[in-house]
Amino acid sequence: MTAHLVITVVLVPILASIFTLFCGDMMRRVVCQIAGLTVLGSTCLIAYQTGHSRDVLNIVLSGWEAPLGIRLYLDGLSALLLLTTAIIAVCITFFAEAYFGVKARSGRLTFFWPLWFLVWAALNGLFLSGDVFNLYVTLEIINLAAVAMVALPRTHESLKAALNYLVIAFLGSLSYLFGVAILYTSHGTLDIQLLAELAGIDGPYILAAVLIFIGLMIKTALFPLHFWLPPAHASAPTPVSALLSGLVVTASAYMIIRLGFTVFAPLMHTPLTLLLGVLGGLAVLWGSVHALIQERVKMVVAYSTVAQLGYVFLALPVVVSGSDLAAMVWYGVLYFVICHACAKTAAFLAAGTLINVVKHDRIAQLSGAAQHWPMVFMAFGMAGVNLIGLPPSGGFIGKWLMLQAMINSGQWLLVLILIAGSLLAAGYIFRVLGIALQTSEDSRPPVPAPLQLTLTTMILAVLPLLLGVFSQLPFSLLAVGSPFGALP
Amino acid sequence: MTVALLYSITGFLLFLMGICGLIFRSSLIRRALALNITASGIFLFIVAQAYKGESALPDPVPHGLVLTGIVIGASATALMIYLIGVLRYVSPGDNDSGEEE
Amino acid sequence: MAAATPSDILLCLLILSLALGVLGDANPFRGVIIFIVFGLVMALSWTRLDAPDLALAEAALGAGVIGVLFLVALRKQGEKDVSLATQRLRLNSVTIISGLLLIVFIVYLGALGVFSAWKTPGKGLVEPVYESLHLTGVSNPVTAVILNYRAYDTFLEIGVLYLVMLSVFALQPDEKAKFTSTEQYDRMLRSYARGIVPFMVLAAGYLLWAGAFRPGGAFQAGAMLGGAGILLHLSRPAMLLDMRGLVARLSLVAGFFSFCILGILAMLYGFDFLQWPSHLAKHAILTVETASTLSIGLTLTGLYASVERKLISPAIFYSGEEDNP
Repeated sequence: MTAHLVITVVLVPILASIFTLFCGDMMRRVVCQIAGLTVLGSTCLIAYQTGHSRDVLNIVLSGWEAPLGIRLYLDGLSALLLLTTAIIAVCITFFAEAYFGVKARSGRLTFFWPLWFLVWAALNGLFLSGDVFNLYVTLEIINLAAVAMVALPRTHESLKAALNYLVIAFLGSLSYLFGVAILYTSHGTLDIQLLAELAGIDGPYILAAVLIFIGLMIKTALFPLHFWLPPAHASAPTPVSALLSGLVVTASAYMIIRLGFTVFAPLMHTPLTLLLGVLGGLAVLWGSVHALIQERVKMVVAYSTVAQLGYVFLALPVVVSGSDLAAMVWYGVLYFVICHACAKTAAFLAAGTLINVVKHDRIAQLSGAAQHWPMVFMAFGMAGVNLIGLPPSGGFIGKWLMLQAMINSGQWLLVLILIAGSLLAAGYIFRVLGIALQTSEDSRPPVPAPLQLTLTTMILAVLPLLLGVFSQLPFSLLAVGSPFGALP
Repeated sequence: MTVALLYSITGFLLFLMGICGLIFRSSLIRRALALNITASGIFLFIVAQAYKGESALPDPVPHGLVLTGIVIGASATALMIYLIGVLRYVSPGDNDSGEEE
Repeated sequence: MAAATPSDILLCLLILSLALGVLGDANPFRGVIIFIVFGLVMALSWTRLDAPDLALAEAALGAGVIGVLFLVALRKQGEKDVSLATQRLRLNSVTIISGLLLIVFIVYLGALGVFSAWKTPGKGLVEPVYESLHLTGVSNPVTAVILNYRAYDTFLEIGVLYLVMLSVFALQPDEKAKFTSTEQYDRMLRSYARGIVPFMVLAAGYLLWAGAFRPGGAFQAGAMLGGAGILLHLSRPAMLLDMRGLVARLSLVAGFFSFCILGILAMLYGFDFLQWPSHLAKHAILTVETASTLSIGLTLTGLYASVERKLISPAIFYSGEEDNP
């Protein structure tokens, strides 16, 4: 039964993508909503069944067992990511509907919908994939669709950002593909679990690891490979920015965690992780400082993505110090990534709602805006609480776990960077809020923000707080099939 | 030197040349060409490793992977060429579609 | 293992010098021409390495269709060289990443002496592939890999092609393409096309059918069909590709959709997703291949037409902008 549900979450968005190509406007909206809610329902059921049975599930495709065929792999981590993706994606679907409005009912913008559902299908496929080459194919769909969506405004800037993104994503994919090829040559399989069993440190293995990690680092925009991210994420239309910063980078961060703790687990106990930690630390500081000096809200949020992704790598050097600490890092990083996905989407949607009503997002001219659109800034603030890592948000729990692991292993430099990053995050969030909260003399009657925009933003902004308060459930789900068992 | 090794090395070298091309060329068409050369290098490496000699059958799985790789690479290249074409028609500051962003 | 013969060394040197030509030539036009030759020589080396399926795909897709796209892009680009970086060597991410990869390799080659220490690659999956070949419904092992053992990858790969066409539609200008030809009407080319196009379609059909037991298959056939479409457009400069009709859109998604439907059917009958029961496998594979060939052919023709700005996007259909002169 679960096998059918799992196929459903990949197939339904694909079918929706095909159908939206043929439907007129009314029909298209119905298809979007039905498809979105179906996937959401299925992922809820999958998460429930996985949490209930506490079993990982291998789903054989085409009737051929690995290593000959491809199998899908469903554990607690995949189930939780599918669910998070579904919630975020449904919110973005409704947001985009209202955001594009009349413009997307005819003309070229109608093709946003098939592209969007294809990305969603590929994201689901990626979180479920148990095969390194299949991961490459899904990642490629996500990237090419993301490139097209960045170019959607069809302005000079957005096209340049899209082309830059394409060149870099292409290079990253090739690097990853080369690594996969070397893995296959030396082990004769592409299945993640089989590769994890066969892994042993030798020349080709290290070369494959380096190539795969460089490829994935490019896609997660790790310092110093981050130049492409802010222009691409900020120049895209808001629903696309939210998709990119919320889900697309989460996908590659997920791949790093997944492969790092299975196929490349032996390497995680070598000082190589120190290098990743240093780069992560630099990303945190560099991204935060740049977020602090931006002039547009969307650029602030985009640089914040560079900084927040740094945390994924920052905690890795701790893994060397023993399996209890490694478990804390694993749980901490994943919880952080999931909460970041929600909060970052919410922050972008808040910026988008603002653009929808004020027609710009220059921070200096937002003075007093919070009087007119209190809900928008409340959502931005709540997302900010998570990005800073204040309790009671889920981001706090993630950072707290990482912090404890760092303190226990005596890595004080990492502790320092983590705290500095949080303070800087507080700086860039409160800078925007501070200006918006000023009282202004502007007495013009404000344009009310459309309900559909505010509501979807608000749902996503509340989600990280809920994840912070009710952390029991997601943690018990994550424990299903975790390489470390339950959280110590 | 065996056939597999010779072609593997050629694949490595093509990969390196493609990367160099990316570094030293800034024109977009050149970068697209360089990416294609890089990809060809990787494909050549994979297929060379699948070659098992005159009398033995080659491993068909890498061939399948490379076929997928060629199609995906061609798709990405086509998208890139198309975007370069659109970029030519949209000059800076020109707002083609009336978006507010 | 077979020892390399002088002709192998010659072929490798030829590949390397052509790559150097592609990247090094000062004239971008010449660079593209050399790239096409490079693709053809690559096809030769695929044949040498017992991979004729790849040779066909490389020649038709890599050198053929993509080469034509590059040429058209250059012609359209004309004197204006589009480049993002202002200087030659700017500290941008492309440079950094490329440099990084380069350093990794040089260090690796130096430190480990890879090529002397490179262990003989393992057997891979040769045996399991051939052992189950009789159950796959085809006798060409590569076709078995891409359309049976790893059909899920191919399904998503067809999705990539569909995605690229969608991207093109999403970026088409909202007004109808106005293609005014400045090219001379070429009688020679036209009669040549009239003669050769039916044969190309026939060849595509053969490649598709032959894919079951000898080199060939949906991608090679699709590329051949795409080539026929491009030739047809080349010989009639004023011809526009109209994608507004239902049939065009249906053909575009045919490959992708047929995978979905057959996959769902398999599941409804209690099999795995995309599992072909062995007595039906032949028909299932032929069905998805035929549909995919159609989609790939139309997609490639569409890509060419869009770069030439000769494509009428289906979006025009929705906006109700009918041509009333």
